[in-house]
Amino acid sequence: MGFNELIHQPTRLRIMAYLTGLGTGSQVEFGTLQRELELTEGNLSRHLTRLEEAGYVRIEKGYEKKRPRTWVQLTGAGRDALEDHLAALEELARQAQRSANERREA
Amino acid sequence: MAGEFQPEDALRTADTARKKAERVLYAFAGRLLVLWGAVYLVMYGGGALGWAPPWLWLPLDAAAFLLSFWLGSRVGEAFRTEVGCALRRTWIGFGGMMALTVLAFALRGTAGSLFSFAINQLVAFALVQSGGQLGQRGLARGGWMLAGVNTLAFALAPVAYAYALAGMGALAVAAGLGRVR
Repeated sequence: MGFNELIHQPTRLRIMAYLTGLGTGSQVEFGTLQRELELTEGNLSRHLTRLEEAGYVRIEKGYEKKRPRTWVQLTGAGRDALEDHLAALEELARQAQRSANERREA
Repeated sequence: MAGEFQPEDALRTADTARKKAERVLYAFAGRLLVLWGAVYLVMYGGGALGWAPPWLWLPLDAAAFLLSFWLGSRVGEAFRTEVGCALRRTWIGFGGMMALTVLAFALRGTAGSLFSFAINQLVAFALVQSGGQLGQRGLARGGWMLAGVNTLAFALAPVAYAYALAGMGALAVAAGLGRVR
C-alpha cells in the first residue's frame, strides 16, 4: 500500500509507532498512552477514533479494581500499514538523498 | 525551509516513539535491579563489616518484596504485554519456589550458609529466565554471573562469600541505574 496519509499525521504516526514498540498483542491503558506521548485527552481520543475507524487499532473498555479503563491495541492491519508507511518514507528519504547527490555532482 | 516535508524527520519521530515503548519493561527491570542490588549491598556488605545486624534481613526483604510488587502492579495496570505476562508467570513461580525453600530452611534452621546459597541460586535462575523473556542478554548474563559467583564463593572461598555477594549487589545497582536513566 505504501505511503499512508492517515498515518502520516505526526500524532497518529507517534501513536502507531509507540504501539508497535510494545510488541504484538500488547495493550496500553489510555491514560498511560496520553502521558507517554504528552497529548491531551481530547487530542488522543480524536486520533484514536480515526485509527480505530481505519481498523488500525482496537479499543477495549472495561473495569479494573472498579475503575473504568480503556485499553488500546495495535491490530495486524495497523502493524502492516505502519511497516508499509515507514518503508515508503525510507524510499522517499533515499530518493531525496540521490537527488541531492546528483545536484552536487552537476 | 520551514514546514517542508522531510521523510527523515517522520522516520525519527516514529523511531523515538517506538524506542520509548520498548524501554518500558527495560526500565522496570532496571528499578528492580537497583532495589535488590541495594539490599544485597547493604545486607551482605554491611553484615560482613558488622554494621548491618542479621535481624535486618527480614524487614528489609519484606519491604523490598512489597516495593517490587507495587512496581509490578503499577506496570501491570498501565500495560498488558505478552512479555509482561510471561515475566509475571516466571516470578510467581519464583515466589512459590522461594517460599518452599524458606519454609524448608525455617524448619531445619536458616543459620547455615547453605540457606543463602540456595536462595541466591534461585534468584540467579529467575534473572536468567527474565533476561531471556525480555530479550535482555545483559540481564541473563547477570543471572549466570550471580550463579557462578555464588557457587565459587560458597564452594571455594566461604570467608569471602558475603563480600562476593555484596559485589554482585553493587554491580546490579550500577546496571539498574543505567537502565532507568
